[in-house]
Amino acid sequence: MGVVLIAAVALPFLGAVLAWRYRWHDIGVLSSVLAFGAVAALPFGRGDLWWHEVHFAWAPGIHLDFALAVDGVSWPLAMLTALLGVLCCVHNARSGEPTLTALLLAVQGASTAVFLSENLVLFFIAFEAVLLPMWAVVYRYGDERTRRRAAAKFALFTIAGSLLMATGLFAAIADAGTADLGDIIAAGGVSERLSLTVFVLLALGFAVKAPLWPLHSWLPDAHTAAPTVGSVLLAGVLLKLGTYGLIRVAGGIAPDGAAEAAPVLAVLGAIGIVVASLVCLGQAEIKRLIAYSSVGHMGFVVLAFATGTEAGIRAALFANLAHGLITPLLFFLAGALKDRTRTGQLAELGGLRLAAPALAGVLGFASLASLGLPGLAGFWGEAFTVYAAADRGGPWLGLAVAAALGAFLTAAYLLRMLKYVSHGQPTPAVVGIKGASTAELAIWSPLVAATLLLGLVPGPLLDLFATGVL
Amino acid sequence: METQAIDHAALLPLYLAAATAAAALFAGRFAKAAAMAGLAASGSAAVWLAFGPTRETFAVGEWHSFAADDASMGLAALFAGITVLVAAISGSRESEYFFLLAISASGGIALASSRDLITLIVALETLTVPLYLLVAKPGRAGAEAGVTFLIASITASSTALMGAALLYAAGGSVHFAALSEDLDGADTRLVAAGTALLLGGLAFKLAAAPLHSWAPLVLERAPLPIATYLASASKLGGAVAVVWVVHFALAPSAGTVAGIVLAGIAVASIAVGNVGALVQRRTVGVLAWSGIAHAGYVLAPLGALSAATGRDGEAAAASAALAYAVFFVLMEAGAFASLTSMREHDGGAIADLGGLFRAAPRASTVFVIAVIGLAGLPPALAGTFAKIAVLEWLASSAVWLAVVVVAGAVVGLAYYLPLARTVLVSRGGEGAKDRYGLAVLAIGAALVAVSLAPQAVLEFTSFSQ
Amino acid sequence: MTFFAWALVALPAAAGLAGLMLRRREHAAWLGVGAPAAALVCAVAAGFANPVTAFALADFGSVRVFAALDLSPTAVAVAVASAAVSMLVQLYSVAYLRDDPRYVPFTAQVNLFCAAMLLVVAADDLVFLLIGWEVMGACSYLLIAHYANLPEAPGSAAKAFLVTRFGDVGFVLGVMVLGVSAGTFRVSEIGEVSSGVATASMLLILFGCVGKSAQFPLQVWLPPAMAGPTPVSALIHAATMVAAGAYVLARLLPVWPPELLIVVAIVAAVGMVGAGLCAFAATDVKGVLAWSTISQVGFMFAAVAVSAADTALFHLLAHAAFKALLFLTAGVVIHMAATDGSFRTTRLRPGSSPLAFWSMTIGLAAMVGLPPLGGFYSKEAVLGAASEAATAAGVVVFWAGVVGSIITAAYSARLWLLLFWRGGAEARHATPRPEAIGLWTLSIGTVGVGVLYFAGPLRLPALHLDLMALMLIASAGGLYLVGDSWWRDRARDPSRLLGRTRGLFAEGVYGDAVATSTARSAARVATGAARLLDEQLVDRTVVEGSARATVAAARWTEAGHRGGLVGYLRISVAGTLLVAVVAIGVSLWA
Repeated sequence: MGVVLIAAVALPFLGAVLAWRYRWHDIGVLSSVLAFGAVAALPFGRGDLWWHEVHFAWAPGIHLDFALAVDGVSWPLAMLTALLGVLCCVHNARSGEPTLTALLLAVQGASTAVFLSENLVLFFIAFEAVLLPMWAVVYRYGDERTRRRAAAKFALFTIAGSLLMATGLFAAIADAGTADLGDIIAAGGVSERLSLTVFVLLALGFAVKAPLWPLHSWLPDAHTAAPTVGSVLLAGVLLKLGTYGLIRVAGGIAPDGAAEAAPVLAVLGAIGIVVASLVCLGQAEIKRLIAYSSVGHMGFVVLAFATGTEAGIRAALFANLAHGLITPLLFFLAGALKDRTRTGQLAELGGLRLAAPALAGVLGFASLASLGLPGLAGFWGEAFTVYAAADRGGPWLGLAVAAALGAFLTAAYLLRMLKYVSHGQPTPAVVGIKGASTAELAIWSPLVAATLLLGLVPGPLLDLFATGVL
Repeated sequence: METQAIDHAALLPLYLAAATAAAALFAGRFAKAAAMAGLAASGSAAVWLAFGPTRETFAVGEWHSFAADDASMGLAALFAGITVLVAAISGSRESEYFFLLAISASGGIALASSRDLITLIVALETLTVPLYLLVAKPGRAGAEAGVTFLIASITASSTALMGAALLYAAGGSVHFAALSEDLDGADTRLVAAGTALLLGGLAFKLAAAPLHSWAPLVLERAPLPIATYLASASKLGGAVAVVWVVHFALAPSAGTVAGIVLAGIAVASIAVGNVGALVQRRTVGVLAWSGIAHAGYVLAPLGALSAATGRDGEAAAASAALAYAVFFVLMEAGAFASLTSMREHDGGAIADLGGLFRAAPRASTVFVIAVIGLAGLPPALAGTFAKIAVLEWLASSAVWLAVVVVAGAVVGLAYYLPLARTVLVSRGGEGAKDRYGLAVLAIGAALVAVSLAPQAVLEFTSFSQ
Repeated sequence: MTFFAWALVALPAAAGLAGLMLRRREHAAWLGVGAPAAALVCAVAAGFANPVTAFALADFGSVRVFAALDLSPTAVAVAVASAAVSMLVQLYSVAYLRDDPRYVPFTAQVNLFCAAMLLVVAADDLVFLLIGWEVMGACSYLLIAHYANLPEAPGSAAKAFLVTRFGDVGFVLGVMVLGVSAGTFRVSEIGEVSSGVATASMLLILFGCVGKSAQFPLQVWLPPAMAGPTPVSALIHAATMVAAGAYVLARLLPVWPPELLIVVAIVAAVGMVGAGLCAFAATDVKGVLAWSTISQVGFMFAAVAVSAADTALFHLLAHAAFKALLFLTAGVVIHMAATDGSFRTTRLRPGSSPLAFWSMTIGLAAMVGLPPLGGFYSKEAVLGAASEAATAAGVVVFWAGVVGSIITAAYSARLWLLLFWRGGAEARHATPRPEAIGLWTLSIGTVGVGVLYFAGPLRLPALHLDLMALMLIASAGGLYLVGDSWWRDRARDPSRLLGRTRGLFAEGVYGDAVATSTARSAARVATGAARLLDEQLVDRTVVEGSARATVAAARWTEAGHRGGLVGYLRISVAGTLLVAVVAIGVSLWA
């Protein structure tokens, strides 16, 4: 199965090169589908701790091995990446340029490599490899007025974060004498003396990516300026790199530091939840609103992780994945809406329910999912964030209250958005727009189905997380 | 007086380089071919020696002045290789041009093997002096560049000599190995002053602050091939000199002082170079200023010696610095060589790079790879490995310096990205050239090779104790 | 038998989800009526075995969530009522919304609503219950916003969802605190928890239930919710959402610290009396009914406050029957009068539609509590339980209940008189068959629900003849007051009895207006502060400020290097000396 593991990482890159070279969409779609198949095949014949591993020496001088491995924590995220990769490629094949498909595949490949790499140096390289293609997506295909600033901001924030993270990683490698993630975790992380330093550096890096308030300010700009597929990958995949790193890598290799720094993380997470929700409540543009909502949702993930309890970590992983399904769906919908109406200003929208019922229906579904409606994927992670915080007791109860209040505010701003967009009589911008096409529905439906499925049957995924190397 | 046995095999690369210089002077029309062939032979000899056992010669007692170990020979090959590249992109020139170039290269080759202060400084001067003539293009601007470089170089050399003299006074020897033991009990003030002056002077070659500001001025006005040489081989010379002095001579007994001096120089270089590059409008300007920052990254690992102790730490610091220097020099050579290939006279403004990706796909691809590598980002992995090499060491020794390097790299991205972006996306590109295809391809291939197999570089730059 | 338990929830849920994708009206109608009917069958079938079933839904390590159903006899009774009302509402809607373009999603949403309520009724796990609890809120949002060309509909819908969700902030926290302490979310397994936890969690859960049941102080969402179609109002008020709060409170009664029940009692008392007064002053048919719901749910809370869970459920069932009947009849009446339901324009003759007249009469009589209708028994049971409980809470709810009964009689009588006895057009109206079936069935149910008092699963206090008499006197007093006012001056609304406070109560004591404007300004201030912090301080000042500072430093550096050779030498010499001095200094110091 090692070949499959390599294929899961290599196929998108191969597809990217071919799609770019021959300017042909179908080859991109094909490679993303094959990569999806490879990731989907990984659970077969799996081992106990790591399901599968491959390991080749690359540059021992800098502790770099080409080492991939997959387990119950990384597989769902790899799966999510592959799914979004397919959807984005299909979406782009309908309208966009082959170069964009190539860039999307490059992002997909690098992100998959991040999730699957077992060597910390390889992890860093893959983490860095995401930057350029994503920057190019925003810069080249973004919204005409804002793309330059947004792309630059994204790139600078990201590299600052990833290099700080690298410093933390290397300090850990020097301390542990190995760059093998599994070995370091098995050894209980780095020595206690260094733990806090390592964790702070790693957390800073991942907090930029996740993003954790107040290191988030690149996100609204980048998500708003990016083309639809770019926003989808940003929200669905790139943010996950940060949270995955925080939970798996930072939490795994510096558990003592994590415990020490937890209160700070938790407070920032809670502030993020509340502040982002309030900002959303006053937001006038639909994509920016959705973008800001990510800050709030990721606040839940960080808060849940910071509790350090078993329930908290599972809730964090679950909320992470759920956000990766719901917010991309929202971005797809916002993109479809903006393509049709040529505006994202809430004040200029209205009556979508009458003009394009299916679009409005899916938008309503996605909004309900995003506000954490029980029975849909968004609920479990966020509700059990409250549980985990309450479980810690004492001052953490205050954070639990903030989280619960944040969930209420989330409902408030999403309903406000729906009130503008869906209800009332169609505005001039909305009158006469096309309904959702079959192709669009086909792109959205996997996300809708997965959101519903995870909401109704969260057990298997949680059990999967429980088997992970943490 | 006893005549000592000289190991002529160890000197083979140097002999070949010197012979090349002489041959070029007399080869007339074939000077370029002769220079390239001779230096290639010299490089090959160095590689051959690198695979053999370590040779040492010019002994005084137990200390040798000249060593042909893996690192020296690898660097000698690199000096030779880069000089070949520079010769290849130089177009048709008079034979003196190639003569001077080969002289300079032989200085670099000697430098790599030198193990005492005198040999080192002489080799460094041999590397530098021919450049006084080469940097000066006809005309007022060229003359100004030449004069600036001359005076700057002399100032630096005298500073370095002063430092060397003070160290000699303190330690009573000029041999690195001897100094490494003798400085231990010496007058700390003398050692400190000597170290500061010596390293400050050597930092000139690397264009590190505070002796940095000649670089933008000279690189911008020198002919592009010579700028290539100055930015790559000449800087490699500076880096090697600093690493040699620190690693072989100063680290064991004066490591803390050297570390403090170098940390200061590194931080200053990173700060000045990066912010200076941020507002440049011309391509060479950006590369020249950013080169100052990279000099800072090269020195930063040695700066960490101020904190770390122990033989392992010294070796790791020197290895990291040297590995970074090698990766950096290759990328810098790639950037300048491909720019030379695309631009007729000078680097031009950044905006002039627009559309080159369509007009000159081969050279511009190498340029983009080199620039992305300088920014340290995949897919140009050479730069990423360089960053990893430095940060891995700094993270385990001086986290604050690592943070400085990180901050520098962040600012760096702000000016490297526009360079790459302009080449790839912007319009324009009329009248672009795509010359010296083979040479550009060769340096491109070298970059790809070290990206795929970084261990090759990491191995010959590693000092094991 | 567990099959029926699962099918009870799953069938309407599946029908609801599938219905969202339907296009044809007939299919939607069949599915709409069929799913609650199937659920009804399942509920009845489950009633024979009272299955209990559970499997682990989510394992969070330290605690597990179970998909657990417990169809106790009381749960079955409530489930039957919910399913039956839902079915009748669906049937009624076939005719009521015959010209509505958005009928298809409407039926699907009603089915989801029904499924959610059945889940709340049947669930034995608080987190599992929460699924139904909040899906219900979401469905209420969708249904209230049904009419696209009603400008206030979206706002009312959002208000309904948000106010209940505001309550749910408390509910979720309460459930989680309880779960942390008890180690389980299973209602049947929550054993002894410390009194501090019980106090905190139950007060928080009460807040959620107050929101769901539209009790004081979160009653503000219910009257505007009338913007939805009338069948939706029937659904929300009679057997689902509003009742759910009281139901959950009743189920969790064992966890309540007894001394804390006074809080419930106060909520109930304010609801019974205050909402009754608002109902008496309301200016339209549905407004009266809406406020009456709050007042009647107050009676359920009152029963909970005196630890009489089954009594609360008994009143819930009786209320379900007569309130559904009243709303559906109100829909028919408003249709006939072709108005918006305002008292100024809506008037009918009893003869115009005997069915509507008698349905309304029976429903109102049940609400007043006239024997032998269901409402009589249930109210008597509440007052009986209150008088039996020798607690402060008992005293409070008993007297509030008596006053509430007087007011109930008064507003019911007023509604009846204003609707039917002010003349009106002579025309006769036929009621469409699906609507008629609903009215007939519910009328029978309203009359017959009292049977539960004598033969049912509920443990109720014995009849007290003295209380019966007191209640009848109270009701009669209320009727007399209104009747007297009516006979004196038929042209004037009996609500003039309230005097100057009439306007105040007609506006719901301005609760809605105050809450709305408070929420708006709070939101504006908080949003402004957050944006100031986030966009101005973090983004503009710190992030972009640092970028600006870097560029400024860059320009400054550049300018400093323009000196040519001399400038170069100055920098070099100064720098080298500085380095040397520092090095010497440090080496001396060290």
